[in-house]
Amino acid sequence: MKILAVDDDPLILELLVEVLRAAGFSNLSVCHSATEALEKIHQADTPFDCFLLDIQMPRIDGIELTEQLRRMAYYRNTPILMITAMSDRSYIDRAFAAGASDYITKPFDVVEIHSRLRLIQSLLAEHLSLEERNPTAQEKSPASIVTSADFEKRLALLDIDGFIDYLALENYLMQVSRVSLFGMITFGIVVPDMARTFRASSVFEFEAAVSDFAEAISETLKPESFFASHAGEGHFVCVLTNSHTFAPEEFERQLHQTVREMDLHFCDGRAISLMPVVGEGNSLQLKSSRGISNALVHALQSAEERAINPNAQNRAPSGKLMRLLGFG
Amino acid sequence: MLQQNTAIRLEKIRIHFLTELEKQYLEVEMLRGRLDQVADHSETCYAIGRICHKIAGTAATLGFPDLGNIAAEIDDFVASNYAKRPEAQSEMRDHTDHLLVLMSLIFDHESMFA
Repeated sequence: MKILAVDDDPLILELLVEVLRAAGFSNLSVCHSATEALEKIHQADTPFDCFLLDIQMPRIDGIELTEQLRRMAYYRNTPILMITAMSDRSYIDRAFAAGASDYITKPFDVVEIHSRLRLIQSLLAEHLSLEERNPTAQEKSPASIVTSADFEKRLALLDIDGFIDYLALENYLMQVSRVSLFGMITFGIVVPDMARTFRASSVFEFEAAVSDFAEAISETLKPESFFASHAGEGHFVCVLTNSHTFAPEEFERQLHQTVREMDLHFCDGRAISLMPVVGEGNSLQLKSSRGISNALVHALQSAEERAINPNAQNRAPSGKLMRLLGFG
Repeated sequence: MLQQNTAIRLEKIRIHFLTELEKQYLEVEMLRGRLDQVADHSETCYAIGRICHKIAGTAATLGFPDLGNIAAEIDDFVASNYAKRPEAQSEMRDHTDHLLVLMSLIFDHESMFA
């Protein structure tokens, strides 16, 4: 795994080189500033697989560097770990909004940094093998056979305001839970018609429909500060980061309205009908760390329950979910 | 062998950290004096905060958790709005004195085992 670490503190860079080398990550380049990093990135013969960035640096800071990296086509999905002393929630929010994949606070724990990098390494390997077996929508010919993997694939949708990668959203919640969960509410959105849309379209059209629908979510949520992710299929999860109430029925009504106004169509002119179902809002304020790690699963479960039974409200989790979470 | 090499290299980094810490001690000591002399202390606080930010980033990983904690406390304090108020000056003095004492203790301890 080819890694680039950027920090203006030479001691941190020395330390990172040793800590990473000890764990077998020896292909590490270091830069003392974002400007130097950008030069190195442009000159690199083979692209980097992962970035470790400090936030507080003179001139271009780590958050701005993240934004610049995400604008480069090749690095749109490359893991970016912020390694920073800035533990304040506003920095965490800004870093993830810019496209960070994960966030580690200094002083870093050697075991923690090893485990996060190993996780990234295994995700990259998994991603590579998936790509080999299942090329991206752009690479597929219209006659390509669509697979269930195309339907289940989580799309990053980073071009859409508030949307971040699903794993980044999980990491965001874990990181924020160490600081403050005040005013945070999660909820899920399920689009049962998405399966029908998938069957009736090419992969390209399906991904465009998912992207358009995500745009509708973003538009409808807009006055709020939020993060959202596609969770595969027709599933979406949202986190309101500064709210104390959430009315699912009202939001669902507004979302239907936005989708209607978008007037979605397939390439051949057929209309796409999407009727989303919104789950109950779940405040994270008093959640345990186990509750936080399951918050997104719970949010989707609530939306699925409402899709099956529209009158269901605050029902107890199903036996299947309880087993999934390790109870009973 | 690999572990032994890592340990040797980490020790070199630790020594580098301590050399830097000696310079930082002198800087903080000078800035601490300025806290008593200058009426507007915001620039002095900011300079101390910047040094503490650096110390907080590495101290605990290199085996100095207490130093890392007090440096992080000062860094957070300086970053907070409260630090800009005139009444925060005495609190800043206390924090800085605490930091200087801790730094001296580390130097004494290190010289004892040198």
